[in-house]
Amino acid sequence: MIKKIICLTMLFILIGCTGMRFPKNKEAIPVPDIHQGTTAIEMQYTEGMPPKEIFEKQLFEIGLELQNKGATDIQNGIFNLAVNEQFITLLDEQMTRFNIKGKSVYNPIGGKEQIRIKAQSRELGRQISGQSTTLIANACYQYQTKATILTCIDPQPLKKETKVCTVQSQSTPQGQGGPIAVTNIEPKMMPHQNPDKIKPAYVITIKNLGNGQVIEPNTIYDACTGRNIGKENYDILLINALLSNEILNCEPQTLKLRQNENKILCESTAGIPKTAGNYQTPITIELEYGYIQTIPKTIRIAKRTY
Amino acid sequence: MSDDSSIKKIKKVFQGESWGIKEFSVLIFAIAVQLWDLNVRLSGTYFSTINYQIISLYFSLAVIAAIILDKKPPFKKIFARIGIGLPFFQKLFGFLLFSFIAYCIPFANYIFMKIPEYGGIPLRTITSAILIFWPIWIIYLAFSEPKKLARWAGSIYLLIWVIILIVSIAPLAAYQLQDAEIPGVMPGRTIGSLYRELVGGAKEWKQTIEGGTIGGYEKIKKEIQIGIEYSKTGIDPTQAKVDAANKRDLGVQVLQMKASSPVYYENDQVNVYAQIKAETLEQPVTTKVKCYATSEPIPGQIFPSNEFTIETYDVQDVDCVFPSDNLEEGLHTIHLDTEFNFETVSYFETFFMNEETLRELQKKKQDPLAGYPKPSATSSKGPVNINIKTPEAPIPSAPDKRMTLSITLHNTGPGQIKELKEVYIFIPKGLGISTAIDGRKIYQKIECNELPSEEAKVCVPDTTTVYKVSADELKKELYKNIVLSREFRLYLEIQDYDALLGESIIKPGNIYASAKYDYEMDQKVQIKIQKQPTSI
Repeated sequence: MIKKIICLTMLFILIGCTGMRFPKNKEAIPVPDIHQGTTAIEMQYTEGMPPKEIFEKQLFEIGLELQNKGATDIQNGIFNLAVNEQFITLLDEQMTRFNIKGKSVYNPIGGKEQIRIKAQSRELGRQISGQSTTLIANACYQYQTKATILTCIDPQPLKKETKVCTVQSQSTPQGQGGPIAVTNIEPKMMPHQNPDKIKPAYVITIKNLGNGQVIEPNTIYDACTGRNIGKENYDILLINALLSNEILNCEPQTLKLRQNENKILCESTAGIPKTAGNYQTPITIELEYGYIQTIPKTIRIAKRTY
Repeated sequence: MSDDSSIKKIKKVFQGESWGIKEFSVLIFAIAVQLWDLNVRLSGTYFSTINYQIISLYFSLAVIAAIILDKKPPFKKIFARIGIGLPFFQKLFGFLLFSFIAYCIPFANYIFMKIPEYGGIPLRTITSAILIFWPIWIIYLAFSEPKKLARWAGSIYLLIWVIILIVSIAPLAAYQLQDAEIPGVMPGRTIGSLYRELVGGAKEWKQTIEGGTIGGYEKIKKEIQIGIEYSKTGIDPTQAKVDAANKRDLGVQVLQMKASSPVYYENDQVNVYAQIKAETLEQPVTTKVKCYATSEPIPGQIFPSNEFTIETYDVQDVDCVFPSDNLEEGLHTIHLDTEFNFETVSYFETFFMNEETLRELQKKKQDPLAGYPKPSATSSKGPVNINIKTPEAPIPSAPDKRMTLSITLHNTGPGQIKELKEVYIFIPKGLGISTAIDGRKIYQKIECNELPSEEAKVCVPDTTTVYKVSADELKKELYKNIVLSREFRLYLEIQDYDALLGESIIKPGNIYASAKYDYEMDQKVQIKIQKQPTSI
């Protein structure tokens, strides 16, 4: 009996010490949604580099911080700095290449790179106390936006029954981790040439939500170095879309962003049997493009004595 | 019984029969609007054309007054004559007109801002006080069909206004007292002196008008002439912003030119004196002075020297002396001519952009210069302002692309540009004078090492192309005695696109102009020679 009491007491003590916590539901560790946002490269001048005011004939450093806030890794991006050579001489190369990793589940804030360029201000003319001048930093890179959106397939839209999902347009204005974003998808269940099937089609709205210029991805070097790339290469996006695993036929496949909102139609050629029933499936849209961003900074060069 | 009479009294007050509660309420609102108007427009953009906040306050005042007041409205007869018969609308339109006048009164002062001094009286000081504080609404509410409360409150406000008016004139009085060397300032003397100075000022006006066109009148005349000239020549009167960070007043100024007496007798020696202030940053300035009386004309003698050179800053006292019996009886205008060499430089940073990229951005109505500073020329201080104009930035750039560059020298000083000696224009490498219109006779391309040493310092051979306005061109009459402005137009084309844009989509580029000239100023003072009084 005593043994039983001792055992029970020990058991109560043990339970008391552990706090008697029984796992209810395992809390899932949140996985960051890296395919969100409308920024690719965020470029800014390093604080105090250069300072707002420098003197003539002064050595100084120009610093820029580039952060890839999008979901695509940048390979071989081009950075260049333009200055008014009447006032400033660059002592380092004007142009440099950069590689910056995009956001990932392991690095949800994206990769960063710092660029430093040494420069020297020139002597100013007499009778003037100082002069303002603008530095212009350009970044050009290839980028990709990948939008994955759950969509509803309903081969028999007129059939009245309890449905898993409803075919309706979806708005996604928050972006998908790049400056070019799919902002809306409007599904349509179209008749297929085979009467036993339907043809899901999607009107996809695409917008440039960043403040840069879109170019054909293979022309970034020429564009970034002031060469003419031809009108046809501006605002060009290459589009790929998949419905589950099926490649959709998009028309046009190369889209020219003419307006603020641009629409393309992607449709399934294989079709879906009417017997497949009502279900949800992901549509993945991949947009490839080149992107140019510039950022100015005005500084004042003051005379040493006046 | 007494209670009844008290109630009646209170009723009377609130019915507005004796105290005028309604008038008083509107008056308080009018004072609030007036004070708020003064606070807003005097503390900030005083002469800004439209201030919606103030307009809506004055509008509300008119509407409230039209609804509440039973007074005879202003301009009633005029509105009745043009067919506005309803009393409410007569009131409304009358009060709206009142509000409009109240809103516009401060603008009237702008006219006097243009004439800072006339006959020795700084008009602005007095007119500011009268016009800005002129309480039209308050005067009407307090004194038109007056009611007790409104009259008292209006009188207090007006008393304050009169005090402010006196305080505004006080600096003038103090200045005049200082000139009159009165030790200390006493109220009686201040008012007395102020009275004398105002009367004296009025007399000076009269004398000035009688004696000829001097001072203020000439300023007005010059302003009008400038306006006419600009409209006739079609030259853009826009000037470059001045190098504001430079706190020095570069150039030569004649300060306080005065005669030792406004009236002399025939056998008196006439002394006219002035302070000449010269200031420069680096360029040495040589000033030559001469004086003469226009009546004959008779030259005067300059003491201590009629020529002096300064390196940075100097103030010279200069006397112009006419020996006794040199000038005859009557009014004489004494001229002091100051001539000096000077240099003005101007910078203009603009942006060049690949034309193809620019057009694509424009197609989508994207601003290619969002976040960029708006390009504008900065001219150094001095009597001349150099404005530089290019096509709108960013300048579309492509091989062989043409553009016009205009460089305008505006005379902003009190004299004239006697002679243009040298003009240099620096443009970014890659740009050059177009062969389409041969400008080689006017503009000569030179190398950096051909420039004078000071200009050569800022010339970078790899990035700059330099043009000089030819000496033959500058010898022409066109470039002499410039009162208003002279414009140079350069027809340019992109001759080397790679040199201009380098390896950039958009690039800042600099245009620099420098002009060396002789500047001449003519200051005048009027004196009167009287006959020697005969002794009895």
